[in-house]
Amino acid sequence: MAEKKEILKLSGINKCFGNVVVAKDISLTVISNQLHALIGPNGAGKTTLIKMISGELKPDQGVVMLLDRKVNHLSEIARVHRGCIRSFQVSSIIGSMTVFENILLAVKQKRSILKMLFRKFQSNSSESSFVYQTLNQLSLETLETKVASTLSHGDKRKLELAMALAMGPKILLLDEPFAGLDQAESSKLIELLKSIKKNMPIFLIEHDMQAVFALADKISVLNEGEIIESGSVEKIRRSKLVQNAYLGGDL
Amino acid sequence: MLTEKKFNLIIVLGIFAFSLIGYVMNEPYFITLATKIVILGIAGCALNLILGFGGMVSFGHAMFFGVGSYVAAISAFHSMNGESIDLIFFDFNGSSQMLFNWFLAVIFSMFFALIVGSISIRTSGVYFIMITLAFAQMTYYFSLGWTKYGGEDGLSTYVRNDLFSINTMLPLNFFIICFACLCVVGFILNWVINSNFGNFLKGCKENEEKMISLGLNPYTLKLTAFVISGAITGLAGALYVDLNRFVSPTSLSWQTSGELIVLVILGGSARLFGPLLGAIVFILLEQFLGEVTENWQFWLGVILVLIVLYFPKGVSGLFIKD
Repeated sequence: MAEKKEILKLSGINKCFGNVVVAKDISLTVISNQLHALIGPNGAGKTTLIKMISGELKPDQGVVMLLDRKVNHLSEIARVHRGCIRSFQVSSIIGSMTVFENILLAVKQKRSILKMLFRKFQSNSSESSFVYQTLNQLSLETLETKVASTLSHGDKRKLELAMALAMGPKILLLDEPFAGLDQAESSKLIELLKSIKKNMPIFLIEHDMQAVFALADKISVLNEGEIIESGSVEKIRRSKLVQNAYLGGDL
Repeated sequence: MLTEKKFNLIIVLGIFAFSLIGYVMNEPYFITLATKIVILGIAGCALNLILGFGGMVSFGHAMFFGVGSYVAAISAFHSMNGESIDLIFFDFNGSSQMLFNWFLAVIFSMFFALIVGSISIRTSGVYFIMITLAFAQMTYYFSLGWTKYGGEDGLSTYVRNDLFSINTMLPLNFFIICFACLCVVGFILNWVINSNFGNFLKGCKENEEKMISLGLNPYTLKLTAFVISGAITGLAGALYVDLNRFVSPTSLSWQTSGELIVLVILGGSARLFGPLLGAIVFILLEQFLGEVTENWQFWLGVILVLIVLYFPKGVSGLFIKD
């Protein structure tokens, strides 16, 4: 059996905005090939936590470890270069470009400014095949030449995920990828994430319980900035604490 | 409707034909008009790189135009009167060589753009507009008080600089020099816009947060574009000095910055040669409306309002298919 490696580790994360505590002594771990879901009511501090992991916000206290290295001091961009790739609550794509070009941007992102200036924005054969491979993986191959702003909501979600995958992430941070998707689109995305998580650790923030229970290997429940329960799907389902604090009834 | 490539070709050839007509009809004024269009077009296209493609509305681009103008003019002025400038390590006697003065203008404009850009790009939106305006006004007021080089009266250079053995005083010859510069600038800007850099810059304009999540630093991207734009605008300024053989603080004023923005909006932003068409429309309106009424700028304002309201892609949007 493959060794379980800690990809992301948070220890004692605290964060306040003025008098409001948004993260209280949060500790959690995401190991390789695991989908760790974080659930919690609106305003629990989920997105703030993902921002602290990605580097957009700095924690007041605590340590963020990525691949066994402390990354508190690193900027958001430096963390991206270390493989910490994030998707947003609202689909974040370049609407005026085609689907292919959006993914090509993600493929070409590691170039220096000088190299960027002296190279045309076109794919070589290995980049092309990589982009097509990503398009196929996300079932976007028929939309290759479509301008991204004209895509359906579900396809925009898939495109954003395709861009994240094209960057070769070490860990994926997904912020409510199921938001606004209909039943059919949700089912497709669940299947897709099931296949992705076999090879990649994912930290998922989500409200859609059906998706969380279908996908998660581990769930942490955040309430008022504090993790009140953490464990397997069954443990969370049975937890009276979670039911009372968050769901107000049976899961 | 035309493809953008065909449109660019028609615009460029049209300007060339206009100056040739002036030559054939023995109307040097036509050639001078075409030269002015080309020079302002270069400055407009340079501004368009950051405004149209990078989403940075610089209201201080006259600074780079003026810096290029003053640097070229001062160099030519010293070469003419034989008075050297004491630069601590060496005495600079000025130069009457166009290529050298262009080089100086570009280097100084780049330097100014680097300083101004590195501060301004930390802001965005209306703050960016105001901070670029403030920097430009600083240089404007400095030039007003710079009596050594004419102060508010400006500085005359009397003769045009030399380029190889070409007689640059002949209007057509000077037009061809400016036209060649336009072609080179067009090639460079086209390259930049279609490079990886250009596409990431467009990405920055649309979704800066996404660029960060792709691991790119929007600040570096925007500053690089700002410096390229400033350098090319400086070249346009140097050419403008050679055209008029005169430079004044007006070239650094906010009105000049405004005119450059008007060229971009009139012609169409985010099109390589949109501002060149803007320059054609602007100069022709200035000439022909100016003959009809003293208040031609009022009518220009009306036209500008109509274009913004009904043709948001500028005049070029009427000819280019998406």
